[in-house]
Amino acid sequence: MDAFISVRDLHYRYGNAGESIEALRGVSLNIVRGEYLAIVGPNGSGKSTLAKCLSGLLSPSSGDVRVNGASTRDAAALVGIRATVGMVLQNPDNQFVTSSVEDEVAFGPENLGVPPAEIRRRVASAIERVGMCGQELRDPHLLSSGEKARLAVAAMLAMEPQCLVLDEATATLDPRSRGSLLALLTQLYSAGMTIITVTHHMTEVTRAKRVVVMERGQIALTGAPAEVFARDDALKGYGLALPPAAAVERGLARRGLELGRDVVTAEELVRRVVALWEGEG
Amino acid sequence: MARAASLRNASLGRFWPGDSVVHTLDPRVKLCSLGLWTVAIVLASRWWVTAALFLLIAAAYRAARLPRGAAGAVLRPVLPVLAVLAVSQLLFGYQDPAMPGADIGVLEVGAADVSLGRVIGAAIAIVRLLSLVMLVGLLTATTSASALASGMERLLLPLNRIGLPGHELALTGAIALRFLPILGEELEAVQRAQLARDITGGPERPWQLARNARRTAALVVPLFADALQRVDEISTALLARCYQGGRGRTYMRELRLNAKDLISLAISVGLLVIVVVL
Repeated sequence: MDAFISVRDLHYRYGNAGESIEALRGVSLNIVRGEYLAIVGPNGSGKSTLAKCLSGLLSPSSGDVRVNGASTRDAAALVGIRATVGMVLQNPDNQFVTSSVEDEVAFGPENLGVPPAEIRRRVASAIERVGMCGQELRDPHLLSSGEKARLAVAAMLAMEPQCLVLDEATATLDPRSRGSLLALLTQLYSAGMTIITVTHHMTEVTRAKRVVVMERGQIALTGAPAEVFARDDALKGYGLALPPAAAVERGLARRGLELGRDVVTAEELVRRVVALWEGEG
Repeated sequence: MARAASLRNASLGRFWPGDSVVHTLDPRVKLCSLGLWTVAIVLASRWWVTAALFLLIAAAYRAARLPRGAAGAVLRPVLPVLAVLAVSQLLFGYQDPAMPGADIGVLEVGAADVSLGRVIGAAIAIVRLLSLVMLVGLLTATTSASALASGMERLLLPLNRIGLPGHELALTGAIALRFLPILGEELEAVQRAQLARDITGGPERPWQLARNARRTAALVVPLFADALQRVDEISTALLARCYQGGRGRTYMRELRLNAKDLISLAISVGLLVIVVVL
C-alpha cells in the first residue's frame, strides 16, 4: 500500500550550530491512509518533535517528510500539508485565539480562504461531530477541560483534514473527558480518518492498530500493540509501563496461569479468564 | 492575590454574547464610534456636556442588555486610578476662575485651598475617565474578539498599501485581550506558590519602595517566562491552523453596513459636532 505519510532518515535539531540538541536521529516511518498509530516514549524521546514534523509545523534539519507526496521542505506546499494533517496540541488554552466556540472553529477555514457559506456548513458540522451543539456562543476560555479538548478537535475538523495528530491531547483530562475524546477518535478512525496520537497513557495505546516506541530520538520498537507489549523488558528499559490488563496477565502468568502475552485490553483479559473458567468448569 | 483576581476577572476585554442592538452593530461602526465618542469626551468643556455624555454611555449599557454588574466589573480595576486622580485634582488641579463656585472655599489642606469649583473640576475629570473606560468596556463586552479583529482589519486595510500588516495588527490586539484573564490566572498561581513557600516577604508596606520592587519582580519574572512560553505555543497553533496573515482570508460573517449602522454612525458624528460647537 502507498504511504500517505512517508518519513525518510529524519533528523531534527533544536538550537543553533554552537549549542544544539538533536531531538530526532534518523527516523524512518511509513503511515498508510486510515491508520491508527500511537507514538509513545519517555519525556525527551522526540515524540512531540516527530508529531510536529509529520504535520509540517517543523521542517527537518535533514531527511524528508512527505504527505501525499508533497515534501514539508517545500514552503509552497506547507499550507496544504497543515490542512491535510491537522495537529491538536496539548494545551487547548494556548490554541484558542477567538472569544466564541463558533469563531474558533471558523478560524481555520477562514485562513484557508473557504467561501463563507461553506465555512458556516463546516462549523455546524464540526460542532455537531464533537457534541457541542448549543454552545456556539460560549467563550472557549470558560469551557471545561474536556470541552476545550473537543473544541480543539472541532477546530481542526472544520479544516477537513485527512489525518489528525494529537500531541498528548488527553494529558490533562479527567477519565470521563478522556473517554469521551477517545470515543470521538475511534469514531473518526471508523469513518476513514488517519489518527496519530502521542501519549503517555498505555490504555490509550491499546486502541491503536500500530505502536511506535521512541527512545532518544530514534524508533526503538514498532508493531501491533500486542507485539510491542510482549516486549516487557525492552519497555521497562525505556521507562514505559504495560497497560493494566497486560500487567495483570503477567502477574497471573508468574503464578502459573497463562492467558497469553497478547492480552492488552481489559475486555480481552475478561474474555480469556471467562473462557478458561468455562473450559475448566 | 487581589491584583491577580482582578486581572483574572478582567471585564475589560470580556465578551458577553447577546442579540441587543449594540451587539448587532457592525464592528467597524463600533470602532469608529469609539473614536468619535472618545474625542467628544475629551473635548467636552462644559460640565453638563460631560455629564450628558456619561448618561448616554450608561443608556447604551442598558440598551446592550449586559448582565447585572457588568459595568461595575469594568470599572472596579480602575477605581484606584480614579482615587489618585480625584485627590490630585482636588489638591493640585487647575482652578478655572470661570467655573461656578470657584470663589467658594470648602476645604483647606495645608497650603492648598480647595474651592467648590475645584471639587466640580475633579468630579468632571473623574466622570470623563469613567466614560472612557466604560466606552471601551462596552465595545469589548458587545463585540467578539474575532468581530473586533475583522472590523479592525477592514479599517486598517489602507495600511496594507504602505506595507503595514493590517490583519496581523488586528489579531495581535484581539489575542492580547483574550489572554488577559489567562495571565491573571497565571499570576494568581505564582502568588499561591509563593505563599505556600512563604516567600511573599510579609505584609504589603507601600512606603518600602525597594522591597515592593523586589516583590513585584518576583511575580513579574515568572509571569513573563510563562507569557513567552505561551507566545511560542500560540504561534505554533496559528501555523497548525494555516494562518498566513490576511492573505487570501475569508470570513464566516461578511460585514455589510445596514441602515442601523449608518444611523448609529450619524449619531456619533452628530454628537461630536454638537460637542465641538458647544
